[in-house]
Amino acid sequence: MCHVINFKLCKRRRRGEGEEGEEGEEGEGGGTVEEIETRLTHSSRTAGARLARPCGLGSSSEASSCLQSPGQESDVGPIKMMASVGVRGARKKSLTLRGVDPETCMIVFKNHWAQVVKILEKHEPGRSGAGALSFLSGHTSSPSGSGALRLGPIPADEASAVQNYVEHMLFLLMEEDAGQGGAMGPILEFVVLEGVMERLFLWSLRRQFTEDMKLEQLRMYQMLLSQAKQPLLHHKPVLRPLMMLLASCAGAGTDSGGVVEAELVLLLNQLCVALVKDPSVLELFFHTSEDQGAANFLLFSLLIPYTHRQGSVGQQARDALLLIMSLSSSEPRVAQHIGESTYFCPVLATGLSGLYSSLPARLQVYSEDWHCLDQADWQQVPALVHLLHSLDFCGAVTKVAHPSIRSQLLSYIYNGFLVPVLAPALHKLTVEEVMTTTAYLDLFLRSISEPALLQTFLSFILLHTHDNVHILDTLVSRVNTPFQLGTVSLALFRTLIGLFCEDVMLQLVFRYLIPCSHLSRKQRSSLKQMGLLLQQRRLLPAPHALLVSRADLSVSDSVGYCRGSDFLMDVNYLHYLSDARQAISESHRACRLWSAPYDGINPSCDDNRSETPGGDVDEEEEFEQRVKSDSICSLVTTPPPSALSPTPSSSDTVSTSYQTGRAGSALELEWDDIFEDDDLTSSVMMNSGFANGTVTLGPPPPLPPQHIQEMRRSAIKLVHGSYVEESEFQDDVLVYDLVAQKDTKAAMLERIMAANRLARGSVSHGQQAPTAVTTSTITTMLTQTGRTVMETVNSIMSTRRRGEDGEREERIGSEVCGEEVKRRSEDGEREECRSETGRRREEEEDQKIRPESQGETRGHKVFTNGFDVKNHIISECDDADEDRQSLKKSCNQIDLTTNTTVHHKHTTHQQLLYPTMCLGTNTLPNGHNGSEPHYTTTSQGLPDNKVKNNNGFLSQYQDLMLSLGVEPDCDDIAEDIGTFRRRVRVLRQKLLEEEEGLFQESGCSSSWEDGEEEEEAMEEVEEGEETKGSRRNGVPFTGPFISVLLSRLENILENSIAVNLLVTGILAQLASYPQPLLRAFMLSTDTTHTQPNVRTLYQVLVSVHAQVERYVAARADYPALVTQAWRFLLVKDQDSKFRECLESHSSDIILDPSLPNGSVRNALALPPLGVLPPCPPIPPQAKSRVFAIVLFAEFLKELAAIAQEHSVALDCSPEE
Amino acid sequence: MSANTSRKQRPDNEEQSGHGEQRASPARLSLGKKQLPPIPKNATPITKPASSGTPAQSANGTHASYGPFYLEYSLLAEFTLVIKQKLPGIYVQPSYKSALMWFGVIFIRHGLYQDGVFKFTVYIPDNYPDGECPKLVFDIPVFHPLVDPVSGELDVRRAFTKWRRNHNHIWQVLMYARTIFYKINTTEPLNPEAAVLYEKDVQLFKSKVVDSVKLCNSHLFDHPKIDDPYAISFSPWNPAVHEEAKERMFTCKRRPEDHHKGMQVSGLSWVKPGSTQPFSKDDSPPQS
Repeated sequence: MCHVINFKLCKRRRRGEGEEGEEGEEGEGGGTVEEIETRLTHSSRTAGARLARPCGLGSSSEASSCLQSPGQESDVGPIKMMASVGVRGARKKSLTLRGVDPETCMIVFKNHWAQVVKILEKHEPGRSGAGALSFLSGHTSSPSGSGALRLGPIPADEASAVQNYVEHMLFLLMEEDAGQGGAMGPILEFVVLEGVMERLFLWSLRRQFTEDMKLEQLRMYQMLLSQAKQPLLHHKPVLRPLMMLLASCAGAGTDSGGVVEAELVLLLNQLCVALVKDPSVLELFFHTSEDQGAANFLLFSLLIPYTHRQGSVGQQARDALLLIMSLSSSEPRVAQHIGESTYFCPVLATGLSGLYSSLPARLQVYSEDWHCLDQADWQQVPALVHLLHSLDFCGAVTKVAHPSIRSQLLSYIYNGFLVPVLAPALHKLTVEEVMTTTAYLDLFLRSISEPALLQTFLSFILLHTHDNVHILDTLVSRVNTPFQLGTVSLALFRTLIGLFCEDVMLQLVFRYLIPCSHLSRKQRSSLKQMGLLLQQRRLLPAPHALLVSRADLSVSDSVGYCRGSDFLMDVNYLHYLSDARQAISESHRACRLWSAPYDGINPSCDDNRSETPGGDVDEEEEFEQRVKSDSICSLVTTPPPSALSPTPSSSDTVSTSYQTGRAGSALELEWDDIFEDDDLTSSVMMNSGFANGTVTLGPPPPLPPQHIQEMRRSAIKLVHGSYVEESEFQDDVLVYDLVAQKDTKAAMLERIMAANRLARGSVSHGQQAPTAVTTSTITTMLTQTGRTVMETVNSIMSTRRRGEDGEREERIGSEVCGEEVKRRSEDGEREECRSETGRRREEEEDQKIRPESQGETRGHKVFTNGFDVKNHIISECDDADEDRQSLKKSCNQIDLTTNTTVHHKHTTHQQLLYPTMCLGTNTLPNGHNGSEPHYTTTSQGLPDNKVKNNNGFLSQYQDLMLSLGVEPDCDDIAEDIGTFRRRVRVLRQKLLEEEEGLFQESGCSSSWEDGEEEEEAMEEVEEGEETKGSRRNGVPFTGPFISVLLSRLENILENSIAVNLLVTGILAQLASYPQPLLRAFMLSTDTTHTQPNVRTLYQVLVSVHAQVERYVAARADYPALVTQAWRFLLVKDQDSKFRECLESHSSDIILDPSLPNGSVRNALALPPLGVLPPCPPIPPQAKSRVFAIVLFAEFLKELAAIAQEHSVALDCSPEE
Repeated sequence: MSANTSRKQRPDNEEQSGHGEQRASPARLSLGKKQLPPIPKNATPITKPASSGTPAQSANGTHASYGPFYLEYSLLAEFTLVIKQKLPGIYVQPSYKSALMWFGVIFIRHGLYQDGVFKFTVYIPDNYPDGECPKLVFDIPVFHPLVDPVSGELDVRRAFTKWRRNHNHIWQVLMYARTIFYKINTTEPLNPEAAVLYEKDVQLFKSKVVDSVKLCNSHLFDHPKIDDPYAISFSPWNPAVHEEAKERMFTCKRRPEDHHKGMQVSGLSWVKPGSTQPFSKDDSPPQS
């Protein structure tokens, strides 16, 4: 028979299902009851015997677990049954009842049932089903029923007999077709009427309700559900025992190795599938379980505990839950139940928190270049994988669930995970922990695909404030940190920028650009008329101008290279164009959803201000306050003397960059005064730079939160501890230092340049070296009239802060500058002065050496000069060590000067003799002003000292007012510090305007493209006058994010390769955004029309270019190195692209590797595939700079390509 | 009547499709997936800016190896601007052989020159945008005071006395070419006869104009003057050829929206229109 079955099976398989040809055989088999019975018995017995246990539904582990319960004879039955049922389940086609008279089947079924009942009744005398059920209802949680014990054991043969009968019955039930019009088939009807399932369930309870018994029952239902031909769940007598079974499995123990759980979840999953297919059953599910009491929707409640389970069980449970979730979106009742009566959402959300807490607080994976958790990284951390799965599940739930569930879940995630867990984690004490958290956050953002969930995360980042600081601001400020945290933060922002999320971009960039205060009035008006449509024409030439210089760089030293690789360069540029085109169209497509085009018209730059509560000024203030209080950010170290000048002679070493870094620094970096009394003061400097030049509007800010302070301390310890020796750390600190100063320097330089231009404007052409003194004098005079007052304001503030040193009070009134210098030198900031000396001197020399440059290219030259000078420091500082001595001297001298005015004249005359001296008077004040480009920071120590300083302070104030021609009103000052601050602020503003007036009216056209822009020179002058008016809008500011990015870019030579790649990548992506406001800001080369305080990308690029040129010029070996590296990278890049092509178009004739097109190959001059030139031998210490230079050049090409593609992109116009 | 280029017909203002075709021109080097308009090697009029040694060029910073890209993209940008301007009744198409030569046609819809269909060619100086203003030459000299009766050249220079690279654009030239047919200027004419007639005898002028328009329209189906794959040529209405294209043109208008819906949009925004606050939309996130 078995052979027959198997044979038939094979035949079936071969011929597909439902052939007519079977009829004969079946007909011969069908007929009498006996025959069916024998068929059933025979087949199941033989199959069961032959195929043994582990097959079918059971797995080997189940089998073994079953075998491990010896002495229970009754176990044999169920296992055997399951085995055979399983077999039959799998091969039911082999044993078909087709053609068999339904009535015959019914008779067989009834016969079997009668036999079963006989046995059942024997063991439960006098018990009705209902009675048994009531027994059950109080019994669900402790299944090893006492009733069974009471009644004594059941003989094994009886148990197995029941099994056999049940087996047959179930088979008959499954095979039964539904009656006409969907009515129940007779067997099902019988089952329903007799309560067969319920009695069977009770029978299994009656025998010891072991895990195995549960398994048996669960599998029975699994099979029925999956194979029955008519719907069974509609019938309460079927459903009820099922629910009871489920309930009894609720607390399924793990003692059986989770087998029951697995089966339970599988069954639940099946039920959910059935539910989704036929939601009409839902009613019954609710209804049935009402009998059970509290748990209304048992199915769901049972699944919840498995939400965060790993492995296939968890996966199955989550799938089932998702099915219910999708059901909830159409069945409000389900949604309501889940939302109101279950803990699903809290469980899900807090589960995230739990999983998060099990993540490693520090990651061990990183190399120096490591900046984000990529797949290879996170896959090695099981806890992380786990969390990502759960996060993924949350996303899936938000996607499919009813809105009420979605919002509940998101709210729990926000309030139960993000705010209480992630926010503190982002503010942990150690840099490493914070970095790890940042990397996690980045990973989460990258892995979330569901918009609603992403929205929750983003709103956390953008809007949540932790200790009164927006998470976003904290993150932005960390970009500028020296540690790997800075790199990781950059990676996070790369992710954020890549989301094309309007809200993110609004907060990071657009809210600063919308007011258009970075544009001149003319630009703004043209913006209004043209919507920047024509602006894009201007984008074109700029990158080219840079490209020239870039090209010159290489041409100058290796003409051969340039000729040879021209083609490669071109091809390479084509790739950039193509990439740019793709990036732009992608951005454009993504930004279609945005609410506004950001073209300067919508949102309007006028109404924005009123709409934004607090305005930008407050934002800035807040930000800077934050920057100030963020410990990582404000870490400054003064290295121990030994570290100060390790090898001053070696060209590109740490010390170089360090000293450069110190230049003009310290103004914006500080620790709070809290530490001033610490023993740390000697090496950790608490500079009050921010406060120096500041005016506080509101009440003094509170002390930074405890944990920030803690973090500071730990950071200090880091510095003091083992890290100090590590040059890496030093490097980081230095880099940071350097980075943080860039803005300052730029602002300062701008002033110097302005002064120079001014001077040159007022002095007739062709003056020779001797007259340069006069020039300088005039310069100084002109600038100092404004500056002195500025300086005074600054020092008033700083005096008030630092007035605790009683001895200084005496001097306050008179020697502002000198004291400033002295204090600085006392504070150990000599490097700064020295560098500035170098710079200043450099500039002086420049002026002397190139008087002829005053000719036709006057403005241009000077402007470039300024940048060059600054960058020259990199090379200059090497030998600057000797300056220290003279510096000290000069400082002392300065200290002696008492009258500021006299002092100015004095120094200007001395300039030629003591070049170092003038720094005290000129550069330092510059630095002061420059350090505060926004003038909105706060001074922390202010209130402490105000009483002490009143005298000196008052006199200074009066001086100040008088010098401005205002009658000082001394009386209120002492009592109302707030009024005073406002006043000082007004003064400052006024000064600013005056200065600008000077700057603008000098009529300097610092144009980069003199030739073409002459015609606009006139317009500029007009603008100069307008500028004052526009200033009312507040100080132009393009936002912390952009300035941080630009300062990191400016530092490209010192950055690690990873940082440079990230920074340039982010900037390129920003430049690809289609919004005219951003596009214009990123790509405009029109320096004449931007506000003087606003730094554009272009300006930074020019400055970096100057740096590069200076740097390379000073090192004979560099050009060759750069060229080699460049060629290497180009060829490598080309090669990889070529390979890509080969892979994607293997049939392409042109690129066929086996038969290379000769001309193409010749033209490409590619090395044979697979044979790359070796990486040129670049000394390791030069590597990062060499590659940075190459990268910079490539970045220019990238930007040029983006600009070009923007100009031809069709889809930019808003009306389309 | 149908405007038809000898290639696939596609009016220029029909967004990017026109571009794409140009790009896919056969003679160009294919670089795998990175396909771009490379330097048109077969373009005759392009002179390498650097080799010409014009100081203006080097001052602009057009480096030798990037000059072609620069010129090409400048012209592409100009073309893009033309498209964006949506000048009424004007269609242009750069030539296949050179980006410096654009074929165009202008439809005059009312006024003295009503029903006139004038083909023209724009010649852009090869040192664009630093050189002189582009020339615009009508294929058939239209009877007009500002059009040279022999060469057909329009007096563009009077409108652009000095070509300012950042202020003047080719669309302005086209715009100007359209304006002259609606607002007739007779000062310093290239065609004194037309000018005098317009001043003294408008009726005669009008009849001459009508004749001229008729003449132009009668030559409409002539072969293009310049043999170029992208030259604009007209052919009589032929349903077999044109119906489908017409159909496409009309359906094209609806397509962009469908396009939007079907596309996987990657961008995100929860900003309420008119607001500059993040998450200002109603379905903003549940923070509390």
